[in-house]
Amino acid sequence: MPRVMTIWLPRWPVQRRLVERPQRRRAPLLVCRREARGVMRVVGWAWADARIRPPRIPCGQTLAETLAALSLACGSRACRMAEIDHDDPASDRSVLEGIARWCRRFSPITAVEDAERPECVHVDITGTAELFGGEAAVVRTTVWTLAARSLHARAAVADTPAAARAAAQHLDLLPGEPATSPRPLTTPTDGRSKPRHPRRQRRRWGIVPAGCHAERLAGLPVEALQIDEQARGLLAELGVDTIGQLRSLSRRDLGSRLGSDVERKIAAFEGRLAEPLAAVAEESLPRAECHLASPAAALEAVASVLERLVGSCTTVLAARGAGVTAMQVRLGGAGAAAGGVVDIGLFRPSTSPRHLAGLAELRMARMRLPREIESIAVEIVSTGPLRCRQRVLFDAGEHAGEEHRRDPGEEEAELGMLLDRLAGRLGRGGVFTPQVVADPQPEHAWVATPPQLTCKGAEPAAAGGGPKLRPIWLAARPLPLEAVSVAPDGPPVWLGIDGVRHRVTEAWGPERIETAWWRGQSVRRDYYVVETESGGRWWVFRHLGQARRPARSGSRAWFLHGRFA
Amino acid sequence: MCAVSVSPAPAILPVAESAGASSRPVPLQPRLVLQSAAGLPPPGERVRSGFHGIDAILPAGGVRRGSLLEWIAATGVDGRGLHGTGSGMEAGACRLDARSGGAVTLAMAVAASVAGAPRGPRAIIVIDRGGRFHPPAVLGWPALQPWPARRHAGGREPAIVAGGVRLVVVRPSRDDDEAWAIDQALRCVGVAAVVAWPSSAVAAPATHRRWKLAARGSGVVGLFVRPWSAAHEPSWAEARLAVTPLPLGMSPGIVEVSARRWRVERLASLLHGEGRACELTIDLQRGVEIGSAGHRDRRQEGGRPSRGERREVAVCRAS
Repeated sequence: MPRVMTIWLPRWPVQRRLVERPQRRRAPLLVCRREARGVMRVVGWAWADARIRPPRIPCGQTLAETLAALSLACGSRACRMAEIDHDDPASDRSVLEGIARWCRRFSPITAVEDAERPECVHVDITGTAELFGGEAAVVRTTVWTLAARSLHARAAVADTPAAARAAAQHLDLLPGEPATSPRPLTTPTDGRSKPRHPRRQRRRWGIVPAGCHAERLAGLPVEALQIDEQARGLLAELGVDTIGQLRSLSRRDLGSRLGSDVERKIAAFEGRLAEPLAAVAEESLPRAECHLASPAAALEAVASVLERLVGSCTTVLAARGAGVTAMQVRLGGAGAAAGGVVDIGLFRPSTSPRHLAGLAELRMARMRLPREIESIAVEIVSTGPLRCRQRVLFDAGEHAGEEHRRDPGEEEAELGMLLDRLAGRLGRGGVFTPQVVADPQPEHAWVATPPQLTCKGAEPAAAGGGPKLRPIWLAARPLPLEAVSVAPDGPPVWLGIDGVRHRVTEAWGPERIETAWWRGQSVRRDYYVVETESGGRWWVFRHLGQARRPARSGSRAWFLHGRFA
Repeated sequence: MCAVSVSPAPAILPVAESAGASSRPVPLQPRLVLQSAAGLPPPGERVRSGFHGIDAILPAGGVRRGSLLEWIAATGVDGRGLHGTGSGMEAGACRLDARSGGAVTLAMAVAASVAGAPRGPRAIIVIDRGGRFHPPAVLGWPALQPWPARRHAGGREPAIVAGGVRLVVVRPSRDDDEAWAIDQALRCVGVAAVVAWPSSAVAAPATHRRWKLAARGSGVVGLFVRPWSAAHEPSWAEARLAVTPLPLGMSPGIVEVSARRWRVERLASLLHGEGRACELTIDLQRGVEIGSAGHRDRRQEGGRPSRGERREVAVCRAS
């Protein structure tokens, strides 16, 4: 019985753009195609803002109608912020083919969905899933790995590609316990408080047991079969809503009344009609492997071999004008389960074998390696175009008398390699560029984004009525203070913390921050900047409680939130 | 490269300690210091710190690329309360307030100025060990805006550097990771300045020496914020600046919440002699100087420490 895993990447044109430029998450992104007479129609859209309730915008709606709906639902500011991008199906398919090539680690047969605007990747895992720990391990690994690359994917395994696609697109309707999902990648890794009521987690993967997909998926809507809109309308008029109801109809009637396309789709779903997978073309990303004559036990013994293998791969890429952006190193040990896998991602394409091998060694130094390494394999996972810059030939004469200055391109390359090294040892979450977002709550006033190596085209800081005075050190959790204030709602005159009292000589404020009701626990605070008699400046607030249930006044309502260190 | 064995005795002593016994800094192992200085690559170019007062008190008249600067977070008015001259409760209050004294802000402002210099790399690496750094405090500064620098219409050199500086935050979780991250950042020629607040366990003398060599080789400016207790530890920094906040109550005419005043004092050192001090006022929202008082030399102040300082020295030695 064949088994197919289908990976569905919802709203793929929008996802691709958000992954390429993460800073676009701050504003609504609309991908539109231009039709005759200049009419712009929305292909897909997204706004990764947890605070808004996005309006329902069907695919194919005109841009004017979409902006009007957006303005009604989220305010006119959303329309002003909205970014409109032109449709680029060729690039969408090209990047999707890259994902299909990456999936070759699970099976040699991978294909992109046969559709005008594909959003799915099919992987034929017949007989290969057991090599990776079973179907559940394969599908879970796939979704987690794509999530680590900021890609939101859902995957399902079934007997036919059509059934697997239907299951992947309607995972929440599948019978069974909901599976755990990976955390969203946009969550800052700075230990901030989590919302009290987390959002409902949706299933990210599912497995339809072999031989019973027709029964298990009978409750899915007929849209899951990708039939055309006219046939769907007719079925809706007939009261046929689910796949099970559709399959119960006579096949002869189906062909004559709904067209042969519906009959073909059902046959493909049931497995009566073969749906061949058109494997993606080989991009011939280089790979190299070496079997050691005698097993190596030390990392130093592996290092020279690793650099040589990486060098053989980068030489091929450099001739094409490309550099490595992701690489995988596999260490084979004694026994099948004793290997180690090192995945390396770079912020900037590189062709330096020493740099790439050094990154791998940084990771290997902090992981448990096989006791005896028998083989080393290097596989280039993704590449990017190298940026070449012509050097100035007569640089010394231009600034005579000054010391030698480095090429800005060289400085940028060195900075990129530094960030790669730091991320290699500390993890990609440990190296980031902060970006201010328009959130009044101080704990959520910025987000960590991957470091950008270039400033060209960057937008100014998020609009929020101009920069406000904020402390340079912010406590992860506000610290309770003992405070004495003369006026009931006035600033404190004495502050006490850890049994030590501080006399306040100056106080500025209050700055009322009342927000975050959508996170489950609203915030109502009056912030003051206070200066103590010894010159220290603190950022303290009085907790006002909820709007309907104010906090009791007294010394317990004061907190220290930041220091002007 | 000469081999250097570092002694736990301080090579550079703060004024407060040296002035109590004598008006000259105590020369500890002078041969070691001079030999190690001779083995270094030549110092880099001098750039402005962005503050006239700080430029005046620094030995090179500005921040020299490839050098380390230490910002000693002190507190109290004119040094009073640095070690707690009164009860134990007051001493605790001073220790707590030393973390609110503004040394980090000043170090970040100088880093922004160095990175915004007309030529050279334009990246600042902040090594934030404790995860306390709050970027919105500095992202509004003109130098840290993401758009590139403006240029004169006809000139070749950028006259107004309004932005284009990249801020990268690194959050190590262990001591060895922090020391390694600082070392790597100081070795990178694509970095303008590194700002960190290493603990004494991380900034051991040998590590500090390695950082100095790394910075000298790449031209990166290292700005380390240290507690007052570190003022008595050995250091390889070119200068150590004690930052003491001045309450606005002592500043007639300044009532803005964004304004803040400091007294910055370069501690006496063996290589650069007597300490010097200045007062400056900066706008916290923009990270720029809005006023400064002239720098003062110890000798111009009378050459003798004040009575309060002598008492501090006594307390310090007793502890």
